[in-house]
Amino acid sequence: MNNDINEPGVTDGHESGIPPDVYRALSAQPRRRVVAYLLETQEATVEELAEVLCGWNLSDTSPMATAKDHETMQLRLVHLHLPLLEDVGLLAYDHDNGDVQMQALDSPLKQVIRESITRETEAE
Amino acid sequence: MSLDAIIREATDPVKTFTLYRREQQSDLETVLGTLGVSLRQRPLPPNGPEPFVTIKSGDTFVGAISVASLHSLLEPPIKPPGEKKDFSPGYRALFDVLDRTVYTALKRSQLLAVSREIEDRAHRVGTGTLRVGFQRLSAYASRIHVYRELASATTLDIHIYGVEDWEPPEIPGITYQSSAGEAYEEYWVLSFISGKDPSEANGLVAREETDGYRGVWTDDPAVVNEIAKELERG
Repeated sequence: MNNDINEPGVTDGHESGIPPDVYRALSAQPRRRVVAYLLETQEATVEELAEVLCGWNLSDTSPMATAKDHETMQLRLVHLHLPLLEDVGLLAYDHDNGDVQMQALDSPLKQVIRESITRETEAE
Repeated sequence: MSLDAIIREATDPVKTFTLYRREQQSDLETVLGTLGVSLRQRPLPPNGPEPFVTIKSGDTFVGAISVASLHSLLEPPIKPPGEKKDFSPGYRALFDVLDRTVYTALKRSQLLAVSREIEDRAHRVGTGTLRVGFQRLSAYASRIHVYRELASATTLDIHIYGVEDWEPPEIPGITYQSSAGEAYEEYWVLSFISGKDPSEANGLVAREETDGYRGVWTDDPAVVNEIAKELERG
């Protein structure tokens, strides 16, 4: 499954005044999932975030993720998703040790992210 | 290879299981706890994905599996090796980890449960070699009815090891190795190798420590053979 394609998952947020660059950063499913996870944990390593995205993709027809899936996910995080989220100030990413920290978000934005996750789960 | 070396080899690298969950999954904790596997837990967002478990061997990611799938894999009776061959390579990787998982701080009751499982399997297969270390033969006394039945109902070649603090009765099909028993006094050990298919094997070796037992329960024929060879050498 290619979850990197931009998709209209946060339409409410766009209408409620979220800056366009943040809106764009959250337009891909894996990045919304990363932020939703960090809202729970506040911090994580890249490796852990790759585990979360692999686990989130599991389904009845694909109940197991392998080491290769994890490696691919980690590469996408490092080269694509984390830099984009860092650029718009949603998280801080230490490129040396791989630590990722959530930045303070205002409540409406948190709400938009949580709602988008709920909608996604309900749609499955 | 000594029993200590077998335990040591299986101990390294350490396997880490992490449960990602939205709410408490106490049932899974119980299942993995029974196996002596320690479990880290991490929270998932409300309305996030279904719970899943990731497994690492040392620092290396081995796999992620949904809790529902893991439950069905761990449900007793544990699937015999023949059935496992039908699984995909991903599942094989998971099984390889589970098969070689080291169980630390095992309780006596847990070792008893695993021992019963191996005895039952030997009984069902009916042919092959079963080696059992009882630490002391007086411990074997309480299980003698089971072994009498095993010896009479099957063609198993049964070897019992233990320090001779009780004189067991002669039973055709059962050989007592009391002198070798002293070498294994600190260990809880069983090995069963099927007479029908030698790749069908089960073994348990655990050493008594201050906080319980530490050891490995495996159906990896290579490891079971090492256990059996060590016991045979005495």
